[in-house]
Amino acid sequence: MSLIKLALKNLLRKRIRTALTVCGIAVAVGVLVSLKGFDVGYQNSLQADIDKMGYQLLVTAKGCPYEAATLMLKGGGGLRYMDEAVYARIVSDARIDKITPQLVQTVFDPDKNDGRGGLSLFMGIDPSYLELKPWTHYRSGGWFSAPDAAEVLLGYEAAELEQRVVGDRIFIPGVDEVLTVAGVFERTGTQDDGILFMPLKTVQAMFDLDARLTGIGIKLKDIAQIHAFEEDLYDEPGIQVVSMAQVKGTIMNLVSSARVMTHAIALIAVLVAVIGVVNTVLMSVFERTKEIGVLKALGASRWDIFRVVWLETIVVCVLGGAMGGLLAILATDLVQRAIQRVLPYAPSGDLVLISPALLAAALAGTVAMGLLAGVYPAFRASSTRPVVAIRMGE
Amino acid sequence: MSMAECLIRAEKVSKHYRLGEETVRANDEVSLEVTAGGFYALTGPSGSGKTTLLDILGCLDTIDSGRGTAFGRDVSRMRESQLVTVRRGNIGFMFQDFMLVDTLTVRENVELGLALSRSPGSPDRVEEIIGTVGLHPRRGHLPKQLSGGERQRAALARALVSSPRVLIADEPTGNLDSRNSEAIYSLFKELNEREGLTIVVATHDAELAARAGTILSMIDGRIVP
Repeated sequence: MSLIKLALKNLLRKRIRTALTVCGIAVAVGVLVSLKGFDVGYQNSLQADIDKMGYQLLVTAKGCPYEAATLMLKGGGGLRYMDEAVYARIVSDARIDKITPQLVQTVFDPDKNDGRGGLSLFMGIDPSYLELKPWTHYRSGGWFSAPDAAEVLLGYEAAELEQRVVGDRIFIPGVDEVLTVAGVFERTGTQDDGILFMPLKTVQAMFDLDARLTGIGIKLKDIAQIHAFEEDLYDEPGIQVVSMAQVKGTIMNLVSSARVMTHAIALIAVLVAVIGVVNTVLMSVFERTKEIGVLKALGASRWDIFRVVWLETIVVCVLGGAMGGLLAILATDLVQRAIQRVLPYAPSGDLVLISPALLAAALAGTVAMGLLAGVYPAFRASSTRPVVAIRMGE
Repeated sequence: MSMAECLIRAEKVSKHYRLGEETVRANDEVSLEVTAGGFYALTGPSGSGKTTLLDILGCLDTIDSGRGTAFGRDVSRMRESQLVTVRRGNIGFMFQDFMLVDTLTVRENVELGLALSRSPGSPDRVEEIIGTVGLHPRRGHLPKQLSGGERQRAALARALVSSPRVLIADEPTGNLDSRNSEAIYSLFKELNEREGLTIVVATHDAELAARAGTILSMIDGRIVP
C-alpha cells in the first residue's frame, strides 16, 4: 500500500468537492493558456501578414497613423489620396529594390452577405505588385491583357464568394461597370485573398481618380537603410511613411490594453483557484484529523503525512492543469471567433496558437502551483500531534 | 525460572493538563512495568487516567515528570519525531471506534499498517494476519461494508501485521455487542497465550478485564491496589 495510492483514494472521498476544485483550476488554466496562445498566435499572424505584404514601407497620404496601419494590413488602401507624382519622384531612388503603386477603392455591394449588403475591396495595381509577392500564383488565367483593360483578377476567397471563373463577367455596383475575370489567384493566406484586383489605370478611370494613389509599397535593397530613407521622405509634402515595425507596434498597441486587462483577470482567476485548492485540502485535512493521528500512531512520520497531503494537492492541480489545457484546445475556435469580433484588426492566420511547449509550460506551472498551494495544508497535517488528533472530540 | 523481559517501564510518571484555570492531573506519579508476554487490563471509571496512561505506554504522548523507558530506550524527554521510531514495529494500536481508513479495503488497511511501520513484510504476511482474525472472505471490502466486529478485527489485523511486541488497545469492545466482544476476547487470549503477544488494554468491560493476567485499577490518575 503506497502513500501515492492513499493520496489518490483520499481525493475520491468527496468526489464532488474534488471535481469542483479541479474544474476551478481547469477554467483558470484554460483561460490563461488561451490568452498566452493568443499572445503568440496574434503576434505570429500579424508578423506573417506583414511579411506577406512583401514590402517594408508604405507611403500614404498624411493622416491618422492608426488608420494607415490598419488599412495597410487590410490592403494598403484608404480614403486619402496622394498625387502619382510622388511615385515618380521616389521610384528612381537607388536604395529601392522593388516599389509598387496602389489605388484602393471600396464599393458598397447591396447583393453581398445574402442581400444585407457589404463592401467590396478593389485594388488598382501594376505588374510590380506581383514582383513584391513572388509567392502569389495563378489558380487559373493570368495577367490583364492591357494596362487599361476592363478586367479583374480575383483573390481566392473573392472568387469563391463571387462564384466566378476566368471569362465570367462581374458587375461593379455604384459605377455600373462590367469587368471580365482575367484570372484567379491561389490562396495566399493573406488579405489579398479577399481583394478584387484591377489594372491601376482602370481603377483611376473608373472611379474618377486620375493620377491618384492611396499607397506606394517599397522594399529596400538594404533594410539597414530604412531610417535614412524615411528621413529623406519627411521633406515630401502631404505624405507619411509607415514602416512594418511601426505597423506592428501600432496594432499591438491597439490590443495591448485589452491584453493587460484579460491577463489580470486570468491571473486573478488562477489566484482564486489556488485559494480554492488550499481551502479544499485544508478542509479535507481537518476532516481527517483523527485518521492522520492514527497513521502517525501506526508509524507514519511527519514527512509521510506531509507527502500524502502535498501529493493530493499536486494531483488536484495537475488534473486541473491538464483539463485546462484540453479546454483551451477545444475552445480555440470559439476564442478565435470572439477575438475577431472585438479586435479592431484581426490578422488572417491562427489567432490563438496553443503549442505543445505552451501546454507543457502550463502543466509545469500547475505542478508548481500545487507544490506551493500544498505546503500549508501539508504542514498543518504533518504537525498534528497523534495523541491530540486521535482523542479529538472525545 | 527466568525473569520476563521488561518492555515498557513507567517510573513516577505524571501528566497534567490545563483545563481553563484548573490543572488536571491525568496521571499522578504512576509506576508500572509491562513485561513480555503479559496481559494487562487497565480499569477504572471515566476520567481516571486510563487512556492517558495508555498513550504514554504506547509512546503516543510525552510525560511531564518521572521517567519512561520503552524497549530499552529512555523516552522521557523524546520528541514526537523520536517517539515514532520507538513505536514502529514495537507497538500496535487498537481504538474503540476502529479508526480504519474508510477509503481503503480491509487488505489495503492492513498493507498500510505494514508500510507505515517500516517492518519487513510480504503479501503473504498480510494474507496470513487477515486469516488469523478470520476476515479472509472480507478482505476486499471497505470498512463501511463490514459489521462492527469485523471492523475491529480488521483494526486488530492492521495492528498486528508488523508483528509488534506490544498491543495497546483502548476500549476495543466498547462499540461491540457481546458476541463480537467475545470474538475479540478470544483472539486476545489466543495471541497472548500462543504467540506471547504482550497486551495492554484499557476497558470498562469487566469480562474482558477478567481474561487479563494483571488487572490494574485506576482512580484519579493513580493505580490503586
